[in-house]
Amino acid sequence: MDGDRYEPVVLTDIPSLGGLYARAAAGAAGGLLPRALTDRLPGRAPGRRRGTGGAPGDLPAVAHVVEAVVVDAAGHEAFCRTVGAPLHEGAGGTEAFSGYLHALAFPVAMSVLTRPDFPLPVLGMVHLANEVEHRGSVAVGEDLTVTAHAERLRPHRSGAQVDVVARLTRGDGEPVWTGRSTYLAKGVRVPGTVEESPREEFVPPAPTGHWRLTGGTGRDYAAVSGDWNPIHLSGPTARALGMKQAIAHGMYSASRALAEVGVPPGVPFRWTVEFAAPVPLPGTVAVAITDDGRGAGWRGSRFAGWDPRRRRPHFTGTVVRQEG
Amino acid sequence: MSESTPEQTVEPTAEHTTPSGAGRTGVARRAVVVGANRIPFARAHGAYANAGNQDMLTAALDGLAARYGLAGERIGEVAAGAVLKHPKDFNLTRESVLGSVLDPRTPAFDVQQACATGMEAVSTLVNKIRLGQIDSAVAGGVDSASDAPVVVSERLRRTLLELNRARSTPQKLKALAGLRPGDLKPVAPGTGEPRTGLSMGEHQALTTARWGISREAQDEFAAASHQHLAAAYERGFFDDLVTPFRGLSRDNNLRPDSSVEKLAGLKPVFGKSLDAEATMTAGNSTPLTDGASTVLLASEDWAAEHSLPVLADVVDVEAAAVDFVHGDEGLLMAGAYAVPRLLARQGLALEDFDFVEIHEAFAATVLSTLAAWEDEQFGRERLGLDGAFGAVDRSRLNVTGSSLAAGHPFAATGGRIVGTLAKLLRERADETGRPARGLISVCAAGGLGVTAVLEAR
Amino acid sequence: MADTYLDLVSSGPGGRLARQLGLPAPARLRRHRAGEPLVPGPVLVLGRGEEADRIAAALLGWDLDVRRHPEDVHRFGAVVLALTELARPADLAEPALGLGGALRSLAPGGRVVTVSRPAPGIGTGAASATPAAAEPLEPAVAAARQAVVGLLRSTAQEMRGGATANGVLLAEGVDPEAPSVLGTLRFLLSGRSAFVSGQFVTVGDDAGALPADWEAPLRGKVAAVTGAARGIGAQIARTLAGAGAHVVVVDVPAAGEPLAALANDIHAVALQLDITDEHAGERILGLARERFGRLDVVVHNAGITRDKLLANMDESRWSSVLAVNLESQLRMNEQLLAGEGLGPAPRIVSLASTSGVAGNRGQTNYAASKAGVIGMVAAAAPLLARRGGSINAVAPGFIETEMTARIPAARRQVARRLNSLQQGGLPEDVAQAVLFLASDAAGGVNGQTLRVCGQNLVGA
Repeated sequence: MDGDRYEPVVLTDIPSLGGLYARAAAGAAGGLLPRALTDRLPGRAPGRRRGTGGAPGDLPAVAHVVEAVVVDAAGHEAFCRTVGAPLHEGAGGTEAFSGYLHALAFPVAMSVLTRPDFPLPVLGMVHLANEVEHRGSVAVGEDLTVTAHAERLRPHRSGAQVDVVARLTRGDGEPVWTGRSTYLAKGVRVPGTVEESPREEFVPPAPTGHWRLTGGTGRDYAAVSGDWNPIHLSGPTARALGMKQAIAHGMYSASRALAEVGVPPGVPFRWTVEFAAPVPLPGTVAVAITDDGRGAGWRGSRFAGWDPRRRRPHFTGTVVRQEG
Repeated sequence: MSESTPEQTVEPTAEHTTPSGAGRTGVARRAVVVGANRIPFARAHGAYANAGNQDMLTAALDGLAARYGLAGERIGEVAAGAVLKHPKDFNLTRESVLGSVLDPRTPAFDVQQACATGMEAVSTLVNKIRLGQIDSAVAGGVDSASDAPVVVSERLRRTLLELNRARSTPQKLKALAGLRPGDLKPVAPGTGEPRTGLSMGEHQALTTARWGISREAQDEFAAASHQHLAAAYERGFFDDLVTPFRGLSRDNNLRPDSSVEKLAGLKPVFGKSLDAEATMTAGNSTPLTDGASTVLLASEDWAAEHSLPVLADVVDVEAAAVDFVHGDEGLLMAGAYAVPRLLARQGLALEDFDFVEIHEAFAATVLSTLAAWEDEQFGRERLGLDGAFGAVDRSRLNVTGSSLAAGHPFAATGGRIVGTLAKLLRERADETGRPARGLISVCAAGGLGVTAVLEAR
Repeated sequence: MADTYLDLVSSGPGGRLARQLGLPAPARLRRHRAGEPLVPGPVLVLGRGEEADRIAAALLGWDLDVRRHPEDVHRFGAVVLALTELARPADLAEPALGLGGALRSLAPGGRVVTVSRPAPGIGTGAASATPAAAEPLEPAVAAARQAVVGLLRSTAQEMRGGATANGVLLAEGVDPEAPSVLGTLRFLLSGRSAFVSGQFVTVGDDAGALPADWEAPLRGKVAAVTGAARGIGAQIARTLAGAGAHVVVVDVPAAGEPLAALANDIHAVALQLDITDEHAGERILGLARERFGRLDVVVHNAGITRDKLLANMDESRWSSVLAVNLESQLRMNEQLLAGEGLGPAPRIVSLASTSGVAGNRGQTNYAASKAGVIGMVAAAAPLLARRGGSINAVAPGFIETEMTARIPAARRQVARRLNSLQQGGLPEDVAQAVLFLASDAAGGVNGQTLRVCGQNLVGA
């Protein structure tokens, strides 16, 4: 991904996710929301509305940029408490948790997805996978620039998938964190051939833990991530959007798994997660973390979460040490 | 008093006659178990449903005082603890001492090391006695699963704290605004490991599967525990180890008629989502239990001055912990590591013990530990030995039953085992006229284990 | 356990009502309280002879106000009839009539005590163990002596106001100032014998010793009490501890909770032990030795009832009662006497029962066991005497306890009134009798059964 190919659109502030959801809902509902609200969303060009039902066009060749985003100490701490991540004090202060950095970049990424010229419907999009390069220690309190763009619109066997790439850079342009989130828009067809990766049958390993998730898990994570997607908040709000019940945020599971892997402080790493069946709330998730080395000798870990009764996977992932 | 103590006089040996003890000589003196007392253990929400930790610990202390004539006696120090503890019980042991017949000027402190609390209390006090800091001590532990603290939801707790800090009405309203009806529900006290969320049973199920411990072996072991405990009660073994409480005079989890056939009828409760067959049932696992135990420890001189018996010396203690968090080792396997270290330090082997007491958190815990010790690979790779660590003669193991039959009020188990073993050793030494040696291993939450060597001279 | 009838008739209007209705009017008994005088007024000593004078002198030695003439005082605390030198029945007239004259002026809670000698071979009560005399007595002497028994027993039934009448019998050759004569006399004069009436205590020899401190007759002694967790046993333990003894309290493991509470309360040592255990005696002796160096006093108090008419009696009811109440005592005594560690003057006190004296419907097993105890102490007396000790029994009558509280109310009321004191006794009455027999002041009393029954009219 070469950010230079994308025209920078500098936003003055981190967009509100609530507004973005409203914007997305407006798109889906064909203008149910007051115009005044949808007009304020970034990138809106009057008269350039994406039609409903037609074939999607190209991805917008823009990168949304928000400068001087501060890693907020209180918000960071609340996030870490919610996903069980310990606070590490590094030389430059408290080390920012990689999962929190995703949450920090997420509204900017969302603002790309909710652009009127974005070719896929955002509501109902499924988060398929995520990968993060966590290169350097980011300290709580640091100013970062968040840049996000969408790329690689491609077919999927049940629709279209797209990657949203978010980068966090320091003032000197040094990238410290790059996240790639892959989303699926079901039922949408785009040109190209489906990349079929052979699906291995999931065999649950010996669990190393159980997560007993309450009905409030989605609300708790929404409160610290800002992602108030109604499908995570409660049964009624999820059912209003066609779900059988509320489901956990994928990034809650990923962040919690990452926290439980326990990457040693100051170590650069790459982590990936693939989401399978959603995690219903409330519910119990069996989790296994398999380490390659522990403590200072840690080289990497694999993790998986599954339904202990049905033995169906919810997510699998890896965390691998990168040579700094 | 043990049955055979009439001839037993407490004479300080020549090398330990100086009352100054270790403090001045620099040589650690002996610390001995004088005796023990516990209340019968009761299944949770039963006989002691309305008794709190303090009631039970006080009763256990009073029973000990009655047995050894300690009413009004100032003891060097009392250390005890509880695993499930109300915040109001922050000074549980001291409060219990104040409620007991001991001299109110007896100092006390709380200890907490999960299910090894009682063992650690013994260990700490033994060290103080050996150092000459104190001459007498009572170690103990108590737990009530019936009177467990009820915890409010995390959000309610934070809201209440916020409310407390708020000065103005708007601030207070703001603090309350975030509360939802569901937040008002009390949270069941977790029995799971904080770091894994797995219950102890689920953890043991992984270890059980790892060592391939069969259902039959577990049921046989559990039935034997009940039969051994029942037989010990029948022969009056516990007459001077247990004082009735609230109408209960024996552990009410005990089923003297327990058999492999009866246990075979129970459905598995742990390990059901594993690939391996689920083998752990309510019958071969310990139930939630209420109870308290105490052990009277002393220097030899103190025991002699008070004309009290000496059951056994506490020779040495070793704690260990395993890294269970991502499954490197089973949660309850720390004893498998602590014992080899302890025995190496003491220059002893498993065959050197007349009795071995391994806490029966689950039948499979004991069987997994034995299997690991008999396993060559485990010996080489995990213990750094040339081969297998060794085998325990089953006829010497938990001969008067253990937690499967008696129940397991977490912090009280260590005291129960130390008292039981010390008396067994005294009996054996009196019978044979030669020293008797015993080994204890108690596993605990958090991957902990505390082990000890006792010896009756 | 409260005797509400006693409370009622002790009140002014209730008492008048009871008298009008001809109902019994039981009095509050005078019981021992530390610091109170031995007797509630001057002591009148009746009887002639050198021995009578010596007895009067001994009483003076206790700082009592001793009188030899009835007309001296208008109200006496006690009357002592010194009758050891009776030669013929006519000698009894003067003291008997003197007593009669003094009775009206006897203080409430007063005492009448005869000091006389037995008529051997006749017996003074159901269970006295009067040693056979070396030489037969003159018939007139024997008649006079036995006449005292009838006089005393009838007097006891005529006593009012909680006063009692009892006798000390001095075996041939026993000096009137022998320790146990004075010890027994003092016991019978004191509030410690509140529920003892119409009884004789025989002093068989000059053994025994008077205590330095009458309030602490067991100072430094080591005592074990079985069945000590509750009721009479608990009171015995308290009383012995209060008298200065180191006490080992024993009860079955199931009674461990109240046993521990008692032990802590009286600074005793608790021993949870089933006395039917084959090593029970050794265990008790062993513990006492370990903690206190020796064992001086054993009180066999533990007992059970399993009432049933004989026609309905099953083997377990019969055997369990005999095993606990009698066989365990026999076995423990054997072990105590065989073992090392008894003190120089060991004393055993067993609990019998008036049921064992007179029998009781529905209690064939219990009465058999308690009668057996009476036989046991009589036969074991020489064994203890050889060790410088003694063995005696106390036979309580109706005592207000948890056990008797379970008797149906109507039967309980009747049972309470069927004695000269017209009330049930208290556990402390039994305990005081036990304490007396456990003390060296009763060293010359051996093999006897002392009834603490308020002169129960049944089987007297």
